[in-house]
Amino acid sequence: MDNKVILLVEDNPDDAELTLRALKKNNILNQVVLAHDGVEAIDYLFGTGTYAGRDTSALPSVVLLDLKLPKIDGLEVLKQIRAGELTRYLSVVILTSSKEEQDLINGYQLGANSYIRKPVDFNQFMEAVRQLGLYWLVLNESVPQGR
Amino acid sequence: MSIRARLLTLMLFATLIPAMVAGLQFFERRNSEIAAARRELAATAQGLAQGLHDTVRATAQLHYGLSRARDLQTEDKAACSNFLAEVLKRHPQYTGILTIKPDGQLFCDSLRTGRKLDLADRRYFQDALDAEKSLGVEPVFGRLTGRGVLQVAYAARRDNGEPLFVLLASLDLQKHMQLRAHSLLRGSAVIGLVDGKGTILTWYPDGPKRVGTSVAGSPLDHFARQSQVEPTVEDVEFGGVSRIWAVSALPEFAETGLRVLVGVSKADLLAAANRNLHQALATLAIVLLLVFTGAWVLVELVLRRQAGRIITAVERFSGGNFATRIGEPYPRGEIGHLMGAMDQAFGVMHAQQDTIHGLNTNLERRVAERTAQLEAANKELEAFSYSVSHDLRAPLRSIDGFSQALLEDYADKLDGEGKDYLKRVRAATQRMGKLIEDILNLSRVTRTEIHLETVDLSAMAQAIIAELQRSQPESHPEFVAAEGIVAEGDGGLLKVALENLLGNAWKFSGKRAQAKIEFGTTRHDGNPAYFVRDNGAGFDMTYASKLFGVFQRLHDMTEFKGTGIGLATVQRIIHRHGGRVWAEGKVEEGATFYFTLSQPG
Repeated sequence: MDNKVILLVEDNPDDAELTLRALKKNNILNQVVLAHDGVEAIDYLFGTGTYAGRDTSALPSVVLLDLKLPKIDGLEVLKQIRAGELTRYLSVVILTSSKEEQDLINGYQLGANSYIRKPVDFNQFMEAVRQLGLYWLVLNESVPQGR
Repeated sequence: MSIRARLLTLMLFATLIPAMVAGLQFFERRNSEIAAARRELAATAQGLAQGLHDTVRATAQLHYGLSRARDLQTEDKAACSNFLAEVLKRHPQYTGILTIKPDGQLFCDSLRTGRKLDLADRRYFQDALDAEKSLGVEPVFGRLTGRGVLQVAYAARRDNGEPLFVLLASLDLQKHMQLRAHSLLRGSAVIGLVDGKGTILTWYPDGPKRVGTSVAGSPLDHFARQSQVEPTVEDVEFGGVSRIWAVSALPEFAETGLRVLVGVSKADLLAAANRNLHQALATLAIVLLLVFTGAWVLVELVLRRQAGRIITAVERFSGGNFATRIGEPYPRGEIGHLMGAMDQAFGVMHAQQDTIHGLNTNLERRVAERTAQLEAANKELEAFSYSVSHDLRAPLRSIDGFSQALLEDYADKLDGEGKDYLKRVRAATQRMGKLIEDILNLSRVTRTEIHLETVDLSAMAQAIIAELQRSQPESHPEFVAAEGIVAEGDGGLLKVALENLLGNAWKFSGKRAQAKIEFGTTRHDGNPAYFVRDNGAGFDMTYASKLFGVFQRLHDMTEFKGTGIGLATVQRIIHRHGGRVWAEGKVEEGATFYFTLSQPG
């Protein structure tokens, strides 16, 4: 379980902090890579820009993707993830505060694996993260690496 | 019945009576013509009789002249016979003229036969000698001669009145009548002379056949003898032909028994009159025909054609062709006026149509503009809502999250009060989060398009209660829902409404030991109404009007959680369905919330 990487794409530092704390509190000790915006996320996944030279065969086990991001937004990132040969089968969990039905639809249409709304209540948020981690890191079978 | 039929029927009746009157007149005229013809017949007979009489008188004159003739005052038979022969030559209307001695012996004879003849017993002889009569007139049919003659005798007298001799002239009746009859005879007319015994003396035509025969005893004879009360008699068959007869005796010499008979076949007599009648009737018929044809044509031209024009124009106009007009020419009179008025009306309506059209176009344009504005406003609202749902929540999450983090990670550094403050901070943020959520819901309710469908409210209510039970297992209210309650409405919106109502019922009856929630249907003002009832905290009816206001609450926050938006949302949803929502309640005894939905159609 330890070598499973979580890519957290989140522009809000508070939310990022809280998510990390939640993961820790729930004993999810995997490495978390934090991308502050869409460009960073793409760079990481495809080994470009700031992450040029990274071994792109090493992919995260799950991507926690916020929708509202500066530069390229979450849905655009998702599109590119699904378009990339190596990244096509990545487990992407949209983690967003938007309750808009249209975002939900678009997300699934573009191929998100899951859509979770960030609750305001922190306890609920913690619970959500715990369940997330449990499911996507432990239970769910992703496409094996290197394919 | 069409106008044409009506008018023609009217015409028929209008002309029928005059036609009948005219017809009767024609018949009357025929009858009078017939009567006139008969009178004419009688007059003819009388004329002939008069003519004969005049001839007798003329003969008497001759006799008077001859009585003075010296040539006759002689005993020389031969001489006076010669003389008489000369006279006879000049008077061919007589068959003979002779003198008779007072003893009755024939003396002078125009025929110069020299015969001896005793004529003393002759009636005319005796009449001539009669001082009172002085003229003897007697019709005689000579069997030997086969002719009828009228003997006219006159006694020549001396000055002392002593008869010298009797002059006798025998008027050739045949000749006499022949002359006159010839001009009168037409068609089947018959003229005859009969004597007192009924012997036919002359007869035209067919003279030789009839002359000498007797009509005595026949109806004709009967008629001939009657004393001229009837000028004519009809249909007396004689000789196989129906004739109308007129008879006339000699004026002055009626006692001779000589009568003139004039007969015309009934057919002939009537012929002219009938022909006139037929002509008149034919003319009447033609006139009627012309009148009717004229009327027909008139109706056709004036009424039907014009009516047709009007009808065509009206139909075209109603069909949508507003430029239609009846158009010139307008016939004179009321129809023309009507047409003119109608064209004006068409013109007005056309103009109105155009105005309406213009207004419509204008209206549509304005509506389109408004719609565009509304759409723009909606879009803005949507963007706003999206923004709210995202941007406002994030900070809240931070506040709550880090407050919690503080509570957890720095618990040992905080005293009770510090912890309490943080707890309040958290509570406040959550409350704010709920508020945002409710406001978003409310705005979504207003924005969303309603899609009508048949909704099973019973099933929906059950599902909502089940969910509430699942998320709040600590409460166990009894739930009663009538089965099979369906309604027409937007499924999504109605779910939100029921969630609010049932959620309220759940919340406000939560403190009850035996909490009971009911969902059912009833009737209000003849329409179906739905209700959610609980036996919870209830409310004071005095404040019922505040129930549905936004952020209005009738309870303390410490008592019952809530943002005060729920009922406002319910009301907006129900109003969008065209229904009404109201509540009844009693403090500590529960509340019932009713709502109706608009009836389709």
